[in-house]
Amino acid sequence: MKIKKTMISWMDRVILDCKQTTFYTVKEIDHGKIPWLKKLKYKTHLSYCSHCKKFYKQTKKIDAVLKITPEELEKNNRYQLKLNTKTKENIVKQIKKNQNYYNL
Amino acid sequence: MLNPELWVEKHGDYLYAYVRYKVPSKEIAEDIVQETFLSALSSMKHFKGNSNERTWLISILKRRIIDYYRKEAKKKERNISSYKLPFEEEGALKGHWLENRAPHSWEPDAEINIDQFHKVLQLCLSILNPKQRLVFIMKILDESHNDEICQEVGISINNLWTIMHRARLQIRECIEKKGYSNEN
Repeated sequence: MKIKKTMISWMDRVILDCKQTTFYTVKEIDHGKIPWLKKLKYKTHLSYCSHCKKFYKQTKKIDAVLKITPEELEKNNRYQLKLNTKTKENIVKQIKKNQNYYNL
Repeated sequence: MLNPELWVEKHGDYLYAYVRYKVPSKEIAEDIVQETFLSALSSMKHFKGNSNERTWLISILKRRIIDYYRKEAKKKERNISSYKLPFEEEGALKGHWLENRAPHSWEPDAEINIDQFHKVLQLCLSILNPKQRLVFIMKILDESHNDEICQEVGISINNLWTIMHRARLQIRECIEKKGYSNEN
């Protein structure tokens, strides 16, 4: 166990620790700039750390759900989202009312 | 040529599907769609015609989503417990995951139930502090430049990345804690 800890601590000096790695993971997913040497170190850490790898994949998945497009939802019959008729009628009514106001 | 009377028929469902998983409830999503159409109506003269009608409406919709979270950020903050990062703070393993808080459950490669996942996700977004949530949503919508976000919230660019790092760690951990699993 002690040897393992020493090994990890030594590797961190050359590579990055998990806190820094997750920081760069977020930066990559959110389109931030990462200097090339940092990127190399961060990718190296990801290649051997299962926790950080899982963080990367789970964060990507969360991002994908939040950014899901109507086209992607349309492909999946279970998740087709539609406005109900009553709401639509109501919005049309509002538009017509406001159209007069803007003299369109 | 823009034709507002046909907007709901042509784009209503699309706008609703776009916004639904970005806000907490069906009702809020419906309100935002309605506000988008009305706001589009009042700014029709600014429509330059170099993008198509739907793209133009989506850009207005995104601003309305940000407005919703902006208003939320102005509301009085509830008691939100402070979040401690899930890493060792000292010793040889400093900066490494605390074993009991490292990513474990839910398989990111497996198929998910979007409805159920979204419910948990919204619950987890609600535990972020409102400023942090506004930054997060502005980044997700990819509508604003980093400097705009920093100006809006009054933070530096380094702060922005710290906030995003924290937010993403917190949301991931929350989803795990709320018991989301692929089997449900």
